[in-house]
Amino acid sequence: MEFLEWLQNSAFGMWVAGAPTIWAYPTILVFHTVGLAMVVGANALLDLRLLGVARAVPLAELQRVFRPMWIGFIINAASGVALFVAAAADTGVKPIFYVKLGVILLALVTAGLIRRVVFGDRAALDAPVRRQAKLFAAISLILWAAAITAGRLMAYM
Amino acid sequence: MDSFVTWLHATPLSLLFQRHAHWLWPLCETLHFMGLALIIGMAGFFDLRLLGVMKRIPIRASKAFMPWAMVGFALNLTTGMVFFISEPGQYVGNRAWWAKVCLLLVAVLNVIVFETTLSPKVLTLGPDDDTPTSVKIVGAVSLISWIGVLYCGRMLPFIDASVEGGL
Repeated sequence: MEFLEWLQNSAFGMWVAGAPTIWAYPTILVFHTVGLAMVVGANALLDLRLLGVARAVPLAELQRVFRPMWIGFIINAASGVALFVAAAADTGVKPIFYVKLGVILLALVTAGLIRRVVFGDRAALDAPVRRQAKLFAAISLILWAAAITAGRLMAYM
Repeated sequence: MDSFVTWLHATPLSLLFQRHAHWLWPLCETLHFMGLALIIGMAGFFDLRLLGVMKRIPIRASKAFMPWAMVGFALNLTTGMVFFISEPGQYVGNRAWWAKVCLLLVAVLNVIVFETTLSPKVLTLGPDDDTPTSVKIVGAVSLISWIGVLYCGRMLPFIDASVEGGL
């Protein structure tokens, strides 16, 4: 708890939370939303394709989604750290925050599994999508929906 | 404008939303973020193809994700209306909200222009075909306006803030 307060009262924490400029907290929030759109948007695209949407799009082409996902994740990890530090004493003691991190971790693990199962074998790319991949895709969508929900609930809990 | 706000805030529907705000707003906000992820993800993918990225994918195929962008748009239009009907005063006096509405109109008009003039020709383009400049412009306008909508939306609590609303 003392560490969390130290973080929140640090020069960086104070600047993010209190600087009378929209370039601090509000802008960092914008980046966090953009990152969310990139990670979830890109992953959802692949998940939907695996579940049968837009079958005319060659699955091999969608291996590219991992790059915007990675960029979005870096943006959100960085902006997330800034947001956390600014309110560490409050956020750090909220269970819902740790739920959010846990769900995000699971969603990223699922994305990694999809990458291995779907794109690990060149021959499999032309075959019909395996049921295992469809299951992972559905789980991925649910986990990202849960992450967004947990993120939103942080403002209320 | 003030009398419209007062009138709307007193309607039975608005009062119903206000009464249930404690769960309705978190629910609608959550759905609103899911909708924006769908819009940016699916429409962004199509826009990038219009801009000439991922040329190996036929344009007609890349458009097949668009119904899900429409799902996102429908979600956000609906939840947006819940927000507006609940607390019209929060939005009508907010410059960021008007900027958001303008950018939304730009995005929608852009779609209409594309569908009515460019779409038939573009849909016949195959893999490795580059897209005409006019089509690239449509793709760029779409991407920029949707990111702009996201930006203005996120800024709502901070610009002309007259309310305590959840961040």
